[in-house]
Amino acid sequence: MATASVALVLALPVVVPPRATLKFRVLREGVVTPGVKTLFLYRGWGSVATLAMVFQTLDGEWTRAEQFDLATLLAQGEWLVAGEDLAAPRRTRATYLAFTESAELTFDITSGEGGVVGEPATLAAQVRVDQQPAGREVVVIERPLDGQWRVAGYGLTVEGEAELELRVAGGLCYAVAVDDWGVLYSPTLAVTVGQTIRPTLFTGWLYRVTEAGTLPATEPEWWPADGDNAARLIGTARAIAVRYYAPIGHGPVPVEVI
Amino acid sequence: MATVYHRDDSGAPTFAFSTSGTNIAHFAALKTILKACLVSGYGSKPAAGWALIAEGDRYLVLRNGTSSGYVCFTWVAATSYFIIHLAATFTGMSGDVMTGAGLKSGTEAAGSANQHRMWNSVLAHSSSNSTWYLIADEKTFYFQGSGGFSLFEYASSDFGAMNPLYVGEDSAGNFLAMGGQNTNSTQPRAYFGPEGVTVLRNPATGLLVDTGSIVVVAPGLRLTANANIGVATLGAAHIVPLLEAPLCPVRWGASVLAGRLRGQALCPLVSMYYPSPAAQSLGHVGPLNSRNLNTPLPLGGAYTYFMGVAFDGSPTRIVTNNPEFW
Repeated sequence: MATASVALVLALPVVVPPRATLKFRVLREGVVTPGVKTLFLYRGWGSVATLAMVFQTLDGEWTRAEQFDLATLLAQGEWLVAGEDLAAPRRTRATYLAFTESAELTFDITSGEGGVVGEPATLAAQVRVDQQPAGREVVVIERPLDGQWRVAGYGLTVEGEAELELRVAGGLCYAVAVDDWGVLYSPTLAVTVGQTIRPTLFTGWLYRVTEAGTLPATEPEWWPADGDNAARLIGTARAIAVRYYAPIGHGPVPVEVI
Repeated sequence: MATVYHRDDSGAPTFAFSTSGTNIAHFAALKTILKACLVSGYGSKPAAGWALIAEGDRYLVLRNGTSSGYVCFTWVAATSYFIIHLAATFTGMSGDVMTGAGLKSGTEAAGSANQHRMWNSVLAHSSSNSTWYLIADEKTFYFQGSGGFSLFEYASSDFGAMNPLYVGEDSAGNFLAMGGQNTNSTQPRAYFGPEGVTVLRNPATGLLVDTGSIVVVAPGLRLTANANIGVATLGAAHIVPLLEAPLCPVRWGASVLAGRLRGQALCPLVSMYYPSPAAQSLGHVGPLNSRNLNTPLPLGGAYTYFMGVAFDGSPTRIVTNNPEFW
């Protein structure tokens, strides 16, 4: 009897949206400990009825790698991550994390107890870009007397101004303004207004999305800001070119201890 | 490579039989088979690499070898079915159902009475009328139970004589269970398709389905809507972009198989769709209508492919100048 042959299979030109792979190394009080630890990820405290992701260590250190739609991760922005270690005494810690690309991340389930947290203080921060007020993250780092650098606090300027809340330990403080480094270009990535795209070959320009859409399957020819810097099409989205500014620091800066 | 297990293997597990469809023997038989094939192995057959997580008279919890998910089978006493739950983690048992993150049974949102259930009343009916086989690796298993109140020829409609059960990963790593029916009926049917399915994560986002709902399609697998009538009936709700289009030739015959109908092809994945949703699943943009039927399907390559249409929703054909089909 004749046997059936395998029929022709045609590959269709379907492009799968970009994915990001996340994997966690989970510590307890900064060290690897045996036992199961679990990370629960939610969209926020208001929606903890629905669990969005879960990562669990089975060997006490690394979780499995899981894949997610990159546009979904970016559209959410920050995810609420709650870590739990049921080994006695039980420990838990929650924080917000943003995922912009595939990564192996370390999550430390700490008690939050102990350690010098410093005296409360404030710092009035101003950020200008090309003489115009600008929204930027400002990080204040401190060099205490023991020489061990620490982060005293950070915040985002709104219309160029921010009153940063700090914790200081009697050392010298320095303020560093950091620009948005953007999201690496990814084929067919769905983008929303306000997101910033970074070309794979960085030449000093980033591209801020002004009209939501999907990035093209092949990386476009990027352009510098020119003339009125009108928004241009990239895939079905539109974006304008914005310059990336390297971090700028000042200091020592005076802080006001409360 | 996946390992093949079946009832007539040397050293294959044995179990007690019962002619009562609501006897625990049928669930016990299922547990015995799954543990023997997946967890312990038997005779010269190695185990598939799954882990036994928890077991009781009325439940069995397993985890696959890649730890991508947990499955819990729960028999409801004095009934002829069991319930299937999936979870991303395992934290213990609540009665006969496991607890864990992302716990899910079926596709509907939390609070629904419908569960993912599988009919199971004849797997251990009698030695002469039943059998089983199972194919598995560390990620996935497919179990096929078969039985009847008498020796049953699969040549007529019957819904109680088999247990088609797929549990584990798909080729992309998504953890799911398929087979049975998502229902609150105490007589769930032994379907194999989107009518009986649980998925742990939404394949579009990677996020857990958890308390939410999800609409699952499986092009090519049967639905009640097209079960026995042999015509295309599936509509817009089933459109899903295909990654590849397996095409096979159309032949005719009379007692013996004759030649191919030249230029005619079938895509089994969408052959039960109406032509318009079939075309859209194959990449056609927008509805396919009586004016744009001459728009080639975007299947790539140097050849042209059109949808073929005919009276009364007969299985959807593709017409092409591809020399493979001439």
